[in-house]
Amino acid sequence: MKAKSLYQRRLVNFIMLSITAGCALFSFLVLVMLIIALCKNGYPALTKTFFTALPAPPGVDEGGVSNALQGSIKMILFSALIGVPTGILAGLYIGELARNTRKADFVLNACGILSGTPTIVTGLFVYTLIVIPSGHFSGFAGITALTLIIIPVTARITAEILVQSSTAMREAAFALGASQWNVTFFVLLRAVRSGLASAILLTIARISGETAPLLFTALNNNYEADSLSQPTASITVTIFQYALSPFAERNDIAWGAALLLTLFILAVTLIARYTGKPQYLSRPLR
Amino acid sequence: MKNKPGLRKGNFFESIAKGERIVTETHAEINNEDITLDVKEFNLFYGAKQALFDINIKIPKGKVTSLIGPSGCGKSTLLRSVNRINDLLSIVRIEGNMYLNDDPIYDPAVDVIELRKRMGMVFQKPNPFPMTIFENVVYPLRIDGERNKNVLAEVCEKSLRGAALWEEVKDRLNDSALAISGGQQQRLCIARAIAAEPEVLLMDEPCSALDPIATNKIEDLIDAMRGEYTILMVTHNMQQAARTSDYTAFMYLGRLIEYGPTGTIFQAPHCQETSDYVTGRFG
Repeated sequence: MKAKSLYQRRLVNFIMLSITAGCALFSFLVLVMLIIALCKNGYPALTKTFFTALPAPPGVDEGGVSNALQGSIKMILFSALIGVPTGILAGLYIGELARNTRKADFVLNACGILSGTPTIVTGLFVYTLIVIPSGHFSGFAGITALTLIIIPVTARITAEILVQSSTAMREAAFALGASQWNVTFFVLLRAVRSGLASAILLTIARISGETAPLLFTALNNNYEADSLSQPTASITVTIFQYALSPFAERNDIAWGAALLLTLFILAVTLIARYTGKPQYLSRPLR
Repeated sequence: MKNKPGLRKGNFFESIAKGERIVTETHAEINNEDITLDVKEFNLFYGAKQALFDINIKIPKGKVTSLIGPSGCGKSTLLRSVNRINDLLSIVRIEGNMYLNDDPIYDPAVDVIELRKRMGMVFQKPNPFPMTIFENVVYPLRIDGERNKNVLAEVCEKSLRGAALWEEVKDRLNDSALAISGGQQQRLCIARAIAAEPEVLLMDEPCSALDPIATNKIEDLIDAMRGEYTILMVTHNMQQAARTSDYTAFMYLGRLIEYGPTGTIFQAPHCQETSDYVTGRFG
């Protein structure tokens, strides 16, 4: 085979570099355009009324999304409160207590399948499980759907972080005569806490943007729900409904809500980046 | 390969190849020692693969004993069997037994956690816990529920002095243990391992991840601990074994070939195979 000339090599190098750089620039530009569009259309909607008022009837200017804000916060908070500890405990089982056993592999694979399940399917499942038997949409159904999304993701991340990080330290702790309980909670969890915290924050950021699982479960509400057993409004479902509305002022509110949601997720992601500096991992997480 | 005069004819490798049982060449000097750890007819299997064959070795009290041999000869496996850290791997099966000051190590009635508290272990790579220096050292006491601050502080100082680290860290006991250098971390791990006053200290290539200066310090430390602690050390480095240990055991392919005083093992071994290994002819 004849060797390529230096000129040819440089040409190919230049072409490939240009193509890859172009693609990278394009994906970055998408983000920039998205943020510009959100700010331009959404910022004017973020008035005091937006945060404090209930939705106005169609065609009336004075509406807000206070109910959706409250509903979203409640549902995210409660689902995280239930889902995160459950997921961490499941992850401890898979990654430490039963590690390298067939049971653990089985549960890990199940979690993998579950976290890959489209969230609309989860929503549908909760719809048949809770909404149909109870006869109405409710905040509880929404929380259930979000919890079902959090658990497998958290369990898998916890297990993976533990498996990656723990051999040297767990052996050291066991060699000193520590009990399994002590090794797990005082050495291993301590070692992975920052990585774990960051992963959990990212999971929470992810479910904050979920719309599909709430559509069939919490539905929406034009008023403030008295309790979580009533249909509950959320920011994401509000965006969905208002964006499709024929009324211009509702479209504006949808933009404002979208901007708010994006800023929230951005903030959580940034916090996760900062907290997530792994302190003791045999190889870095990212 | 010519046999030196006085050497037993080398037939171990042939015997191993034929699958015959190996009887360790144990020097008579061992019989004059107080024995801390006694390994009897010990066999170990990883699944179907046998890793240790008929190991018989007596580890003398207050001495430094080195296990040497080429990679994969089972020296780390033997060391990790002493405190049953191998139990963490579910595929391990053993035959035979070991005795720590006459108490059996492998027995259904043994509480492994209590057993491990009687030993200390130092690993290849320094592995401090993500806590302060102080908390690292007193961890063995913490797991026993010790809360008395005076006791903890006293043990911390004593252990760090014992590991020749006190002067370097006494002003920053509350700093993270991950902030000190690798050599200091390894001495911290030694301090942690001796905090509960173990009957035997197991060291698995304690210097292999360290630079020459840090290695030197650990070797000095091992030298200083002689007499007070019973140390069983795996090393890949023959010079290190020759420098630091009182007794040396040569292992090959899961068998213990020869065991005796370090000077004799390196200068006038009884077996041809040991002679070949310590002179660098193989391994």
